[in-house]
Amino acid sequence: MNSVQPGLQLFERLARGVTAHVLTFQCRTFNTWRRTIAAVGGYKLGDFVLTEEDFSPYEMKVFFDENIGRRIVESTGGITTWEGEIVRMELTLQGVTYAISLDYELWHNRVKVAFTDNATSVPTATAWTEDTTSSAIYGECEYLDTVNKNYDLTAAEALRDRRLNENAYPSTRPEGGLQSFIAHEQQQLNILRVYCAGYVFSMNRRYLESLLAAAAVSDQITTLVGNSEFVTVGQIDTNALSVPVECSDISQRLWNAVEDLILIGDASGNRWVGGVYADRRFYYNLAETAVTHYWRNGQLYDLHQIPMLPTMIRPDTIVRVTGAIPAITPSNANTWANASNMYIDEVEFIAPDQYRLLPAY
Amino acid sequence: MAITCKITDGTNEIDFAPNASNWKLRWDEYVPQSAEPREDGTIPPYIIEVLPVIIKADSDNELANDLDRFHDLQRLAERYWLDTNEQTPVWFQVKLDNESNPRQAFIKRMTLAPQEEWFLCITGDDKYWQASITLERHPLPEIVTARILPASRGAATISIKYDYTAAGAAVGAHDINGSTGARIGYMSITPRKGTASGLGRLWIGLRTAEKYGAGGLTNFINVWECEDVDAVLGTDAARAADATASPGGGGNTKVTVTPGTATWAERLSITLGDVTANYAANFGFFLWLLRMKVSAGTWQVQFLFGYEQMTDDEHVRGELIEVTSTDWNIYEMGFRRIPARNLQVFPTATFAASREQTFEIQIWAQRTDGAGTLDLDCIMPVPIDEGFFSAEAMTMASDINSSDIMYLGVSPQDDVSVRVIDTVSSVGEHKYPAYTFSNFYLPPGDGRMIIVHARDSTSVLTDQIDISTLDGATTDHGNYHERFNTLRGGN
Repeated sequence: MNSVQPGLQLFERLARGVTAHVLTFQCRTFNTWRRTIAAVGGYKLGDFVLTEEDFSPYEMKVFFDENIGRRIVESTGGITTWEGEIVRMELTLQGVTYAISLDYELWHNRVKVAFTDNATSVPTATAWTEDTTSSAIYGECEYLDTVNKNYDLTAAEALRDRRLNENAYPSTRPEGGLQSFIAHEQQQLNILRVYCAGYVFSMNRRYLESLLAAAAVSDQITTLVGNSEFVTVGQIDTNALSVPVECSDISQRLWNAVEDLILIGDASGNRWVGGVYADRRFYYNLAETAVTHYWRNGQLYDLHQIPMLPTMIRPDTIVRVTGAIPAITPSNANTWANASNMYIDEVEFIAPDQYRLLPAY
Repeated sequence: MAITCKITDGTNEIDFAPNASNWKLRWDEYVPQSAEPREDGTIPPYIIEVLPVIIKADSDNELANDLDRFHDLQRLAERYWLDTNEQTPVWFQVKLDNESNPRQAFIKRMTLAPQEEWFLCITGDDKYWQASITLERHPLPEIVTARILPASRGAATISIKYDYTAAGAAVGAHDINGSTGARIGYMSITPRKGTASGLGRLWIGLRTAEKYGAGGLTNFINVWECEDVDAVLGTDAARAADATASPGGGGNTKVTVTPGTATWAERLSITLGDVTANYAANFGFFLWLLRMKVSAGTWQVQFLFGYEQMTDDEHVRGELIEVTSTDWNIYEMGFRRIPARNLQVFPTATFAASREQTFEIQIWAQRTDGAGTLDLDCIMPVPIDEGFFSAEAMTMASDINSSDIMYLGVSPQDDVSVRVIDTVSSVGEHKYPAYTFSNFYLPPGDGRMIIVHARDSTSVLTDQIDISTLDGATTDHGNYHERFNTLRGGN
């Protein structure tokens, strides 16, 4: 056997400051798991389902009630191969679908309103206000509400406080309304769908509101990562290209700003990649430029022609498709300009052992 | 010997044996199903099997009672499948006349379908009523009586070869029977009482004689010492003595890297030929562990896997690990198999196993922050191709009087659970640690568990663990159920 069966585990929310293990998913749940990793972003998206084949409605409901925001870890032989948090769940019971989400449009516990002062016609903003109890449970989620109106401060603060009051906690919302059906004629499927996202997206729960004066891209990224709540610097290689990050007029969410920096590249026109990986560490480095893997008969092999473990496949690799039409690399062109080679931008793992590699275009 | 054929939960049952009850199995029409084995060790899909039956009742009420008995078992089976608080599974148990031991298959669901008129009136003579029972059952029947796991008392070594087929106090030496891996009913591992040992993490790999030969068990090298005299020292590296490094005692026991500059460089190269001349006995697919520490600062360490004649760029890189701990600790460095070649294309009969002596692990490292040195103790390969289990953050301890206990168990429906019992503090259930379980079923034949153990975030050379025994007084504390592809057989 050239494989080791990965596992999927659930841990407490990071905001709690503890790393308590909640449960390890059994095989029948793990076999519905799939997830993606991207060269820009790192651990990206994942999802799985609990079906009534294996779970009672009560178990589904308890899972739905308790686990939004909890940490999911996929590990292979003890090595973390994906990590993220539960960001959305959809529970369908007896034909009614309920959803709960950490989408920052639906949930935010730190709010500010930007408005135009009706006395001075000068753009201004309220102070931030926060529900610290919610932050202590789920982590911070900022929301800057920009209104295209002339307000005084009192009105703006009232708007801010109402928004905070309504959205400080992730709440369950029925989706799709209530559709009638004849109970004994149409069997209703009970199912819980769980959606996960890598911690790279948690960076977007905070804003950069000021100007970062021109500095090396790597330094700018280090600063932005340092402003996030859950992500820390792993290894950030030096990219000396000097770039400012202007957010004083329009605030940017942290990951959006970092992603823009990554996509710039460097002064030599090279591609760079970066993202959040195991233990919420951020890595930033030059993209791969040489062939690292081979594709043959529907399988991926490493440099030594050993089949890859499906969960150990990462993006930012260059795959040569053996058996493809012969091709040569145009002079002064990148390795992946050779038609036999593919730069892999994103990989998808589909449990228990399938995978898909998505090239950059 | 008598035929055994019944559906039972140990208390309620429908017995198809001759003259045992009103239920009769129509043997001439019964076609048993067999599982299709999977070489990767995973469990095949559940089997649908039909039992053609006759109920021979003396009265309408008796027929109704017989049907109620079936529906009771049907309900209990469904409940066990969905509710983990339900402890009693329902089995389909079979033993033919001249077979030695019964086998049983776990029932997930079952239904009853009549094959003639549902409402019939029984008048006067005995009435036979035909029906069929459809079972959705586990594809792998197992022995009814579990076999005992032998006790193993600890020694001060961080990597152990546990012989789970050896003789124990309550069991003779016994290779695993079966068509496929045996299910572990439960297994205990404890830090050894009286030694002040700790246990926080475990890595357990299975290795069998069927796949690697008897030599693959006895000659398998589960610890590669970095200070091996044949290993090649790299930049700023030197051998040194350290009684806390494997294998302990006097003499050089580690490699210390004292960098002049904090650059990324090769610090050590060690080959298969450096540690053994039994090359084929060390073939396999492994998780590679490294025991190391720093004196200060932050270091990055990585394994490069390849062969001696390759350039550095031709090596395949393992995980990039960051180290800051000044205590010995064990780190997961990546997966790699020996040999790299495809043995079906280049078999050892034509291309000698000795060619693999140049299989190489390079250890590269750089200091990224602060000052200090890096100490490399030993490399430990843990097999992952025949079954693997790991657990972490168990926070177990032992003292002069007691020891915490870790239990690993697999239910008849292949649900896995791991729990830690706190006996040192006497507070009962301790925790349910995070674990990885990869087809951890005991393969047929002779085999070993390669076990590496450590504390939560350190590794202490003097720590000892006991397996399948509680402080030496309770022995053979664990069992397994051999599994087969069919209900036939008597082993």
